Amino acid sequence: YTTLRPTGQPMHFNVLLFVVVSTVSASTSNNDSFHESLNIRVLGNEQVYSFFNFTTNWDFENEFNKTHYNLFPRSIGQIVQKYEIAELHFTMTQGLWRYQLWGFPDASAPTGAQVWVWFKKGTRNIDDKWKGFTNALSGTFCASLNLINHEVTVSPKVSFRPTGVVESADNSLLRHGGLSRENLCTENLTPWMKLLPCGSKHGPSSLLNPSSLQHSRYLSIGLHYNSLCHDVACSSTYVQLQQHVSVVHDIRTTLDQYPNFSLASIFDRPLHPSCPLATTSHTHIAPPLDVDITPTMETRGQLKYLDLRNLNSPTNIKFTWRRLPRSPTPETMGIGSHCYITGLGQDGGITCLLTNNEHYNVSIIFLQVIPWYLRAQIHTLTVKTNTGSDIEPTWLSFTPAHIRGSPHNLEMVLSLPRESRVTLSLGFDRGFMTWVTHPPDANHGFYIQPSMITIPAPHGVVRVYGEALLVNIPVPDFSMPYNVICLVCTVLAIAFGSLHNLSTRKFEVVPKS
Amino acid sequence: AAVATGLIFVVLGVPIWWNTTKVYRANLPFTEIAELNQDAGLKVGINVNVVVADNCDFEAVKSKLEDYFGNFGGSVSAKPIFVKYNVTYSPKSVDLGLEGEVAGTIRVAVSCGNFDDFKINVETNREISAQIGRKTENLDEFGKILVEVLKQGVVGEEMLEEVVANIRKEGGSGRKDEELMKMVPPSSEFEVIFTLLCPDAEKMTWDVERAILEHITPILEELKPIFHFHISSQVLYSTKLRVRPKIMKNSTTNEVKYHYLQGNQLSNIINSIESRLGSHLSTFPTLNFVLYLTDISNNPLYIQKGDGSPSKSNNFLLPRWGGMTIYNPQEGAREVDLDSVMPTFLTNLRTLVGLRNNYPNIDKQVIFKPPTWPGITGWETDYLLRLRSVENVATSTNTLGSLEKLLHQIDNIIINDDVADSVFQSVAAIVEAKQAISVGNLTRAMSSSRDAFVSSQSAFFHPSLLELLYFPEDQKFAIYVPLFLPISLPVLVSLVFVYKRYKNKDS
Repeated sequence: YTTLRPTGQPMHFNVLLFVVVSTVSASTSNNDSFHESLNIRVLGNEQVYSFFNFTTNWDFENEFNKTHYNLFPRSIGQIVQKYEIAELHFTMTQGLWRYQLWGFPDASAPTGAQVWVWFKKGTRNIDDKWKGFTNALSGTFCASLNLINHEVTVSPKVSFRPTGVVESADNSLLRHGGLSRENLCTENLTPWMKLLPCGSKHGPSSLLNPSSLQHSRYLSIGLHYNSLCHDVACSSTYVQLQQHVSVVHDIRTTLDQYPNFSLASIFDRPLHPSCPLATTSHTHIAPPLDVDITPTMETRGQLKYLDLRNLNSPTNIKFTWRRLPRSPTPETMGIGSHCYITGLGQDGGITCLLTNNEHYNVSIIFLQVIPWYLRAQIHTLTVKTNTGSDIEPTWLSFTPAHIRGSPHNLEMVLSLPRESRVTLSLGFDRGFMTWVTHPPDANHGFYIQPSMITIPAPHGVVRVYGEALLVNIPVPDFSMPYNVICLVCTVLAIAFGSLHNLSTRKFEVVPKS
Repeated sequence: AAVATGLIFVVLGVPIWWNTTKVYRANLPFTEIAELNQDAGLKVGINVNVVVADNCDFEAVKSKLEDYFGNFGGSVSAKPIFVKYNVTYSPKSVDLGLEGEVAGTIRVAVSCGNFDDFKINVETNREISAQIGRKTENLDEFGKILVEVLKQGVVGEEMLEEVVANIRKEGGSGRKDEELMKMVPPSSEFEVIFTLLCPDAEKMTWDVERAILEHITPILEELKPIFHFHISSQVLYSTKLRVRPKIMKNSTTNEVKYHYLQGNQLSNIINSIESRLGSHLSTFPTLNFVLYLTDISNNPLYIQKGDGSPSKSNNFLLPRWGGMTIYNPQEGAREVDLDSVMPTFLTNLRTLVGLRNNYPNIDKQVIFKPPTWPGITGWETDYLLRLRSVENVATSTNTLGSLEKLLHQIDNIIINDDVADSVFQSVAAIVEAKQAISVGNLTRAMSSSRDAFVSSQSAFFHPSLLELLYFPEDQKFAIYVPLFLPISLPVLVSLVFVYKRYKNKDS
């Protein structure tokens, strides 16, 4: 069980290569295969992290233009074909992943909804396609993804790289959008589950009980589509659809005698045998040292392993502590990020604390998207270590916002010194919106998408997301237009009335009696 | 001074207020729309080319047929359509020999022979071959039947009438309601989805790509001028029907013979699977063809027919939605035998697009030759072209009429130039399509009527129509009252005062 760790090797981002070689071979008559797995990790003594991964692979010749679907969901295939998408990544998350306490997740995701897409090389009218795509995705997952418009869309230069093979990785083909306010509800989970060939009846997906998933500290669903190579030479490719669920349960709230717990006490359901359509189906458990697991499972390195295809009936996996656990020990996290809003009145700023606990310098890519109604000023950008010395970014790109158009986009490559805490701050002015463009409940505040730190790692990248930030910007009194009308009309009426009176009344001198 | 203030109010104030608050409406061809809607009968021209063989008495055949075509020409003006047969007669010797291949023209080849009775064969192209016997008294009967074949069979006058009457909400005879109800609604494009439903999550293979190519594609190719279909297929696993089949037991041995579903249970089946069938990408109507594999515990499963016996085809059709077949796989079989299933789906498809699977039974001497499987005959193509063109014209006329009515009823609807353009285009296309239908030019009728349909729909469903629709009237009141009430009160009072003084002066 290896958590991904940054390598600490200095990197040149303009030569960042992405060759992904997969050993998975699709080997059925229909050229498609389905794989499912469940990884369980006990975090400290209070939380359990369960990571579900469902993978559908589909071989195809030349172009992905199939209209006859078997295991691969038709709704996703049609979207990908219609909008000429080479790669699609979509996550929806409720809660915040605590990197400092829980370590790295198997799949990182920011709070709220995040979509990023690589369009195929040669795609025309990408902005229209992006709009159509977000609307289609919105309909598929019953989420307000149609609100991802040009005001939240960016095309970062170095933060995102394709995870599979694409013809061109030019950032003009990339679109990224996020909605921090979007909640993950059962209504999003149901269409997501419908994409699984076995639904929620077999294998790990049998544990995905909507009510117990909502009763958690952190819940994230993801959908990732890309094309991969069969071999290093990349003579043939296949498409892959990965569906993830990450969920962190607090075992203190379960029905079993704390600190003991079981899958049934967390998910309210036992684990069913594998989906008959699945080529592989297994469970990995990373237990702490003093926990007993029943039924007994095969040990593979530090992990417990169970092949669900050998299961005959629904099974409940129980975790019993041999010794009462000590207080939770935070995982030593290589890189951490914590962001907050500063400033009062019209002025404000974003400050991020980036920590590097490693014993070597780490190169990171920092990405922050700021909405246009916060006027970020690049000259206020400071990057300081806790010793007070300035850090010069290795590379920096700042795209200023267009009013009512695109957002600010700050992207930079930094080298975090070993065992340091770096403070990054950027100032902004709070702007005004026209009164009709305010969203419902404008007094709730406006969200800034979480900052994203990308750390190059041996296999792809590791991402650390900051908090979604809530800013208040000046909000008008929405009854004001009517008040103004009333006030102006009253003044006009009084003025008119007296003038009218003066001009129409006959004034006579009253004779003195 | 009071009069002057009042005058300024009326002369200057009212027009300014009127102009600044009026809702923008581009000019629309209201008179044309009203005319189109009041137009009593849609003229449908049918070109018939009667070719008489040399061994017949040309003049006798011609005069007899002229009588009948004249009689059946349709002088009834109350009908929503008005079918006119343009019949030309020519002896075989001067025939151009086009062999019934001109779209929209029916060729009637009459030949005489040495037998007693006449025979009428409706061929698979656009030709009716008729043979007359020696006895001349047959000619009366022959003429009558031949015209009936054209009217009921090849042209399908009644169906055309019903389609238009139904759209105009005039309530036709009701005899074709069932057929009408099954027909897919007018649309420019359609989605066709073949779905295999497996209640168990066992992998089944179905070579649907080949089966569609073999059984469905030929007919779709022929329907291309009329319908545009997008075909796809999918397999849905672990989807169970939420109905409990009933069990038929052998009365003597009490063994389970088979399981069956009753007619009233079928509607529940669709409800339970509908949510998994579709996708949200296209807004076109979808035709679903669902193949349900019976699970082991209910095998074999049959649909019970009205008389209580199990249905052989095990298929049912849901009007405007598609068809569903229940398939009982052999034990241990891993592949679906689609060749046994696809013909039923093809029959469903024919019904859904508006074709008949049983030809009208007119007379024992009349034979309709079935098309070469899988396909449709030439005259059926023409029939569909005519039917759909007439339907499109009637629908778009109706839509424009509704738009007009709506505009008169609700004042808050904005008509921008885009909508106006669509309306003008639609009106022009309707006029053109009507002209084409009346002369029997079916290709042009189809394309213009489709244009008319598309632009009338885009005008009627344009989102800009709704922009001001939800602006409540009482808000206007709230805005006007603070200004107009305090200002107009003194003006009115002084005007009344002026009027009184004027009257006093007179008397």
